[in-house]
Amino acid sequence: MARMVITANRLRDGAVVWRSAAGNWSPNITTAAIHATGEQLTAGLAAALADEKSGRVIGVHEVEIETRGGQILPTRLRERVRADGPTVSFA
Amino acid sequence: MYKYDHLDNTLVRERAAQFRGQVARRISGELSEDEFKPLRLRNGLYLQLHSYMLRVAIPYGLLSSSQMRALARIARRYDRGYGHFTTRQNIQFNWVSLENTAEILDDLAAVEMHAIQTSGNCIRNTTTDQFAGVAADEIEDPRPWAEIIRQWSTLHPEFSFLPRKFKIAINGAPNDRAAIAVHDIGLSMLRGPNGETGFTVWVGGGLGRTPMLAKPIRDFLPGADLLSYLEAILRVFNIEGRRDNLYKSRIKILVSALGIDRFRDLVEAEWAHIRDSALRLEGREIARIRARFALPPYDANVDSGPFAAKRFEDAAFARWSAANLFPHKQPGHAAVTVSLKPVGGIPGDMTADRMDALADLADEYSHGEIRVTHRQNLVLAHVRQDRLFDLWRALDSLELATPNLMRVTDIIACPGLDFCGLATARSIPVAQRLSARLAEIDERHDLGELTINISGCINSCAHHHVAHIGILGLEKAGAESYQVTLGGSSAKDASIGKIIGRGFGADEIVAAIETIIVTWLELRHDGERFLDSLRRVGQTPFRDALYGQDSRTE
Ligand code: SF4
Repeated sequence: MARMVITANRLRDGAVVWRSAAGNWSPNITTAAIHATGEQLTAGLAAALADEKSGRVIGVHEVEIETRGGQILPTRLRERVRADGPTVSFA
Repeated sequence: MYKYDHLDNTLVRERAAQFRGQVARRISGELSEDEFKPLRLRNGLYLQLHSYMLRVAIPYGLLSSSQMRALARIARRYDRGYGHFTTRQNIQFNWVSLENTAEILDDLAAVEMHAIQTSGNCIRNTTTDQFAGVAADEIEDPRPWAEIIRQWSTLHPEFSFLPRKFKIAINGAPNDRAAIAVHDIGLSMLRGPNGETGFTVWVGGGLGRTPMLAKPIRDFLPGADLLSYLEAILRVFNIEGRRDNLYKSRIKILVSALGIDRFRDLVEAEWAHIRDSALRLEGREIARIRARFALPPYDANVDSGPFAAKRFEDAAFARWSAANLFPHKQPGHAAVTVSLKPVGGIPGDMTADRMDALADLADEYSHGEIRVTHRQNLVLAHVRQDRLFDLWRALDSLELATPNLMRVTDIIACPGLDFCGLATARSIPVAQRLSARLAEIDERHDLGELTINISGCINSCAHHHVAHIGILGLEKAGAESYQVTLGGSSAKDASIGKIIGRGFGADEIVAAIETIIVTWLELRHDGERFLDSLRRVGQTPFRDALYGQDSRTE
């Protein structure tokens, strides 16, 4: 299985957050737990969805990643933009 | 400008208070996201990639200077110090948090603004010509009619759950500056045989996955019947429109499935029941609304001598005057377009500081009024010609005087994948790179009128189908791929652009557009617009230049 991390947006401010092995949600993708098997992912998602139900986060979903030099990089551009923020400066 | 009456005021304040309660219930867990989402969308609050985004309604694009200052305050206090003006003549704040939204709605209500019906399957903000009321070529000011539509459509109980969102545009001049051909309903004003106001009604235009131009449903609709006729169209759409398939739910699909004649029969049959109902607009009521759009007192004796002299003396001012001024019905005045498209900048973005500065300039030069255009620029509509030079210098010092209206750097771009949750590719960086590159070519060759619009997905918020050169960002095998269409127009000569061929990667798209322009320059007749050359020679020379002649047989 491709390796996966779990992400969502924080309910209160919409910020992008990533789920750590300890079950915390952090804006920093480097802290994300990497799921290498289907069972790990299923268990991670179940816990994440429980957090969604309790109103901590919304829009829980898994994201395929690769690691390079210890960095976690989502494979899809959309998720890279979510992880790193807009690729442009504002205004 | 339209001033809220007691009813309007109560409505927006109550709405803000209701939303405060709904947010609190969401945060406490009383409401689930499924329950809450339709409520937040009804108040213009979306969840985007990095944050919540609040879309604030600017009815028909009209703002007072104090409203602009309120937007600046909101940008500073609740966002990251800027806002983004959209092709719906609205403004979006990209970085708001759920917890602050009710306060923002309170602040908006205090200046007669709101975010109602900026989302959801309801009637959205009615858009119009940014030069409404002042254009020299105008038949009649469309804004009172847009306001009448706003009042009728706001919280209209029957049309709160339409099959899909619904957009109306209204234009008051023979030249279409409101893109009526690509709206669900387009209204173009004209005079009846006895001089009375009426509308030619168009229906079923739209972009997105299935771009279509609107079809005429009624040649002349008397003004008094406007609301009953709109209601009849909406009612037929509400009943007959498809709700089973998102991509087939817009009225354009219904009109083309039934055929315009059958659709017209249904509308006329419905109309016969309601034409003489309370929806009939009394002359008194129309006059009451019209009075609120009275033009400011103009000075009839403006000396335009200094304006001509300054143009002669200052080439940069002359260039800006040629590009960004629009003829005014009042002699000695001009309507000024304030460009939000600095070369290499982000189309439609504006910092809070510039919003405040522009509000001050509006007070000083344009009777305190500002308009938002569907090209993501702003307009000061009532400027004396003898003060244009001073205004230009002030705008220039704010970097708001790029002389590029309808030119190649006046690019329309949606937020794309840098912000938007639905995007398949980025739009903003492409717009920035293109603008920087094409500014040089324009400088050397005077490209004239040439529009480029970039959408970050097939939802087509940037109206790329109706740009002379349209760019659509897609995702192909995990990478951004940009599809190019040529030959679109949203003006009186409206047309849908045609796809030129296979798409280009993010690192190829700027060069591809440059190839198109260089090819055009070789076959351009003196002073000819890109669109007119294209209509004269067809797509083949451009396709050959992009893909080689060998590709013709592919
Ligand atoms: S066109 Fe697509 S990417 Fe652009 S703003 Fe609209 S929905 Fe978002």
